[in-house]
Amino acid sequence: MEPIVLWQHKWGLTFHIPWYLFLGGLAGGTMTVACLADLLTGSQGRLQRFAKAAAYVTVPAIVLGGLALTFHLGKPERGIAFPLFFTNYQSWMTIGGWILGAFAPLAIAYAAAWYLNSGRRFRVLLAVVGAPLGVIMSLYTGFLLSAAWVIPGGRWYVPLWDNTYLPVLFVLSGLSTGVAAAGLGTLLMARFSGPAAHDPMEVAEMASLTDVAAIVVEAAWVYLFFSALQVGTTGQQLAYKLVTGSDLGPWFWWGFIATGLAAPLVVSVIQQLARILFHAEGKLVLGLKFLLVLTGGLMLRYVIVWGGDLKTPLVFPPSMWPVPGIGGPPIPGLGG
Amino acid sequence: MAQAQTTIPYREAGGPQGKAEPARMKFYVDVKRCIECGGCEVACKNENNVPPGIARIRVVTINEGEAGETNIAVPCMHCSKAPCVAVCPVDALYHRPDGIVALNKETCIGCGYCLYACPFGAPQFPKGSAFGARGVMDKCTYCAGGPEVAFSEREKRLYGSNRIAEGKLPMCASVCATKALIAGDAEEVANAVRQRMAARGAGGGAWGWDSAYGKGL
Amino acid sequence: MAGLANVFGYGAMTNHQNDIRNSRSIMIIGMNPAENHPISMQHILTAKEVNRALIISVDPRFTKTSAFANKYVRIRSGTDVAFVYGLINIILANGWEDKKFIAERTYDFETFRNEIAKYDPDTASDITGASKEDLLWVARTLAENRPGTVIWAMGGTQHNHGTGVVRTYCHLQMVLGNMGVPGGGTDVFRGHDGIQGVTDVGGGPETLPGYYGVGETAWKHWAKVWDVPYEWLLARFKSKAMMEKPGFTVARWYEGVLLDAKELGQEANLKAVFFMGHSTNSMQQMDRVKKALEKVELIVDIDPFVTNTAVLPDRKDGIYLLPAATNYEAAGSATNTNRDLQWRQKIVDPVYESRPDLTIMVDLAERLGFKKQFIHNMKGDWKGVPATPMSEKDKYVKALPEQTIEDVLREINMGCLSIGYVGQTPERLKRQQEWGHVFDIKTKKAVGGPVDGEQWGLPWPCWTDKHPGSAILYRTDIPVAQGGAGFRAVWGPTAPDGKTMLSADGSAPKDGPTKGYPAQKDYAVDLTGESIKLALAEGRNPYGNGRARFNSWNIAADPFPIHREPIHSPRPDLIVKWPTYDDVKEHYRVPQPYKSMQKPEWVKSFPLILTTGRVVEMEGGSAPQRTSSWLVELNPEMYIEMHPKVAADHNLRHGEMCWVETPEDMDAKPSRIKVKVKITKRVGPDTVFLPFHWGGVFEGNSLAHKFPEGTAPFSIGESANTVTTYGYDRVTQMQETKTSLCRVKKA
Repeated sequence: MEPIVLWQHKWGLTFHIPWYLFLGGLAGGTMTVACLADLLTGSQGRLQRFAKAAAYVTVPAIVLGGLALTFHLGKPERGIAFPLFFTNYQSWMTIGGWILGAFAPLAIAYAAAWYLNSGRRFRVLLAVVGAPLGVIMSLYTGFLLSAAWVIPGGRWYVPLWDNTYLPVLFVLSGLSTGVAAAGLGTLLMARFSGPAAHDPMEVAEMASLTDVAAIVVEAAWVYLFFSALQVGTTGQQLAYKLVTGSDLGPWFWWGFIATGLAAPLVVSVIQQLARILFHAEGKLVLGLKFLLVLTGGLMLRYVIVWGGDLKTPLVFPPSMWPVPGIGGPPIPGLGG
Repeated sequence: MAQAQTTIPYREAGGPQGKAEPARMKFYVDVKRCIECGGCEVACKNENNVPPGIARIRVVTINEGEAGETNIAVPCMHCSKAPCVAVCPVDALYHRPDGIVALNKETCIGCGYCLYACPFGAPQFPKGSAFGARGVMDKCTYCAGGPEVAFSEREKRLYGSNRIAEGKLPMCASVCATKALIAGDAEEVANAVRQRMAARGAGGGAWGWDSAYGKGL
Repeated sequence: MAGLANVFGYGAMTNHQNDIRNSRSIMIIGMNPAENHPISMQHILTAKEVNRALIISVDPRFTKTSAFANKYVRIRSGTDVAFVYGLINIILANGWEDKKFIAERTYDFETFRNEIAKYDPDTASDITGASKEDLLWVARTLAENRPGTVIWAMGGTQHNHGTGVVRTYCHLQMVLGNMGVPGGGTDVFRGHDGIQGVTDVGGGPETLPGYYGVGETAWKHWAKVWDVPYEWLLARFKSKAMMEKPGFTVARWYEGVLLDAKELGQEANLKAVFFMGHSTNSMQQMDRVKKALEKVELIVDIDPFVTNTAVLPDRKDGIYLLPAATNYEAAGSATNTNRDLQWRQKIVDPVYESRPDLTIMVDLAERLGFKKQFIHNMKGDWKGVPATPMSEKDKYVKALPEQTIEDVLREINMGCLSIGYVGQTPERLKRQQEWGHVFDIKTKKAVGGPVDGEQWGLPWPCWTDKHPGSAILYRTDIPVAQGGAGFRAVWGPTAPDGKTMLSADGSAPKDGPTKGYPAQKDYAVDLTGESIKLALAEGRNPYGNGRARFNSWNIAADPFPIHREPIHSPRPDLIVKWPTYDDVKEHYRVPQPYKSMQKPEWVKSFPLILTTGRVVEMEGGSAPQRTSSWLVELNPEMYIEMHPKVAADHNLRHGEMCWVETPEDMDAKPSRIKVKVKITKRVGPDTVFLPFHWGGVFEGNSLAHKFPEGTAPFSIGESANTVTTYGYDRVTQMQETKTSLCRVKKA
């Protein structure tokens, strides 16, 4: 007997969740790189300028992401008042509420510290908290999905959201998109804020190279993730087929793998060759690359969220379901 | 949040457990009986005035038109270890003493976490509107209303009827034409099912018989 | 019904639904109880689980019922005779028949045996499309698992030889000796909850209530019951000949409007049509219906909902819609498919301006000038209706007092002696209602209490107000006083060939004469009931103890049923060998061609078999169901079921729209409808299926704007019957909607 696969078209085409996951992860990434860059260099080096750009990018990202999150709720007003309402500390949503509640003010304070040129000591204090909190922020977007619930025995209600791989994937993607966003931010700031004291290409180049590293690690992790899905439970195998071969295939291959991973690497190589051979500056090329990375990161979130429509196949027959004492061994966790 | 006295069905004292204790309310779906007439779906909607687009119970058919065609009614299964209860950030979903997974629409924030967590597709949302203002979740109440004063206008509007407080069983199970969907205290449901299984016996439609012992027996 | 009546004597289901729990094999043919009679599935599945009964589903379509069958056999639509006679051929060849039963209780088996020889397994397999192995399996299963029941519905009857098909089912049960035993019988499920009652009280055009026919004796009997002079009745007709001539049927009334008056069996065309609880979208050849509705002078439609009738014709006036109350708004008795009567209480007063049917009829009688005669037997308080001063609102909502509705049943009790409608008095029915809990679910018999020994619903024949009713017809192992009976001795003591029509010695209900005996003299017309009591006192059944007929010598169709290819047959080779009937000049007042309508070349341009049926969410014309948001949500629109191969061949995808076209027949132009494609393996690659419940769209054009404001149902759609084609039963004129030919193309 075939297992039942329950299909539910949940949020349909609403943009809130993928955008929130993208922007939240990105904000976590920019915050982390900003703080790390800030902490690693003591002087006004190029890393400092990079940190400043990243800190600035964090603010709109987390604000927009937070708005998307709030307005995906059926009752946004209850979500804003989360400290009053969120009582279940077993739930990642409650934990996430507090993470976001801590992260957003910190990110804004950190950017303000850069903008107002406050003392370095104060900024370092913020950065020391901010670096780990950024990672946690990215990580949590993964856990939010993947820690829905696990039935003992390794069955996932939503097989695509494997909690071994997904949180880390979101951290890596957050880093790669965060670096790209910071690089793009630097270029844009230089373009629109008149002649700068320093060449923005300096920072952009550094962002580009860091991003290459991040993308390579991310690609490796994606490979591990999907290899695991391919040989996983029935549900995970279905999820693998859904994402790589079925309706979501084009989004995954063209939207994420090609646009977000392969193309930026190719563009990087071209940009480096052009720089070495022709001494071309390649601002536009770099900008394009950053945009590609960002697009790929967004597509990844869409694919992952849409793929969540696939439920783990139910055990069949349903006489295996909750009534105790009949129809075979009760399944722990499914009720008894 | 209005606190109200909840009417809980009790097992009779002197039963197998020997003492009065809350019943453990259960659904059981007999796939050898369900004919997909849709009576449960319509009765549920009519009884609880469920908005269009939401099905607190629905009948799923697999292998339609082929050998092995099977129908199964899927309401909320009111799990003991309910994933929806575990993930709900605001504890809007909770277990009543009789095991019914109840919903508090006054605290639900409409995050949709339960929707992804539930393997049966029980939690549902009204269709989306502009700016994502979908409102709060809706699910099978086991015809037990919600955390409001029983039979109040407010309870009727938010949750539907409260047949459990009236001493009746859920509407869907009450109308089932072939008694495929049965509801009640776990002990009684288990007894009823055990009797059916005993009557069916070998080759009488017991699930898994063919694969365990081969066909033609 | 005519099929059953011509074999056994009574045109009704012989056993009852609960009795299926006693069966050991169940053949469901031409029927889909899981969708059309969901409650009966409780009994069928219990038999399967507890008795290990084997369920055989024979159908052109793998229905929801087939999903529960132990064996599914797909046959070509309209080949039931060949299938069943193929089974009987195998049964006889192997000597599995019940020889004792056949010898003692049936007539003309020897000729029948010769007839059956035509249907050897090869022939049957060729005609039906079922494999020889399947035929053998089914025959062996039915023979080895007795008692077994055969259940059918419209899938068996809606053919040009539907009466013949029904008789073959009866013959199968006779050969197997499954008649008159618990768990056996021929169980035809009627399509609506009260339709057996409608038939019983003379819903057909060929009979007065109680199957008395329309002859002089019948009229005189009923004149006596109604207490009006026979001459007064006679004076209301044009002539005595017209008085005793069957009228138009629901299947072909429109020809009475459309055809030239010279072709009709009456002088003039029909001028008015009066619908009462019937929807036009369940009538075949709807394009003809539409024309008739446009031509006729007056249309009256009495229904709780605005039906298809109101919107179908293109006309501006001359349609009167009278809002009828539903069964919840009026009390009364209803007779179900088991021949059970049940009393219904009024739940609410009629809402808005709707009125119960009886109130409407009484008012109509008043306007037509015979209210006095019409209400003669109703002793209830008539003053309240509706002439007495009342508020304007009350005038419309007030229903008749319950007393008068009881009197209607009492009149039936008085008059319908032939089928034993005597003992189902309102008092007994109400008492049963109160004591419903003491009836056994398997036998329907009460244990203890004031209703001790009664059968639930007092199924007719229920000869006296002490008789318990006959839950299972023709049962000889119990006395007549408890519902025992032989077959009805309705064709006299001897057949035309001189053989006896009375049952052999030893085959009789207990505690009475052991030999067969003819019917009690005058039992059906003696209003005092003395004749019936006389028979019962001697342990005899008033209608006698006769034989069931293999040979129905007096029937308009074949004495022995013969397979007749559908008018629209996909097998030109078989049309030659198994043609339909010769043309009939007049049948229910209209000419009825057969052979001249059967064209072998049709299949070339219309290669698919078209069959129709019902779905569980809807019922009949479905005006109420399509007005219910919950049901519409479950089944929102009209569709066509199509095999994946057919869909692929026509480049159609699931959910796309397609045109379905059928050959022209009475009209010059072919009919077509535009429907949504549902791809499913329920139907085979040679067949497509249409549910017939929808209305409100005609050949691609919506009629929604024609509904009175606010009355359009939530769901409108093309009617399957717009494309169903010509073809009618030889005896009852039942429409041949189950088999036609069509083609599909992308819209």
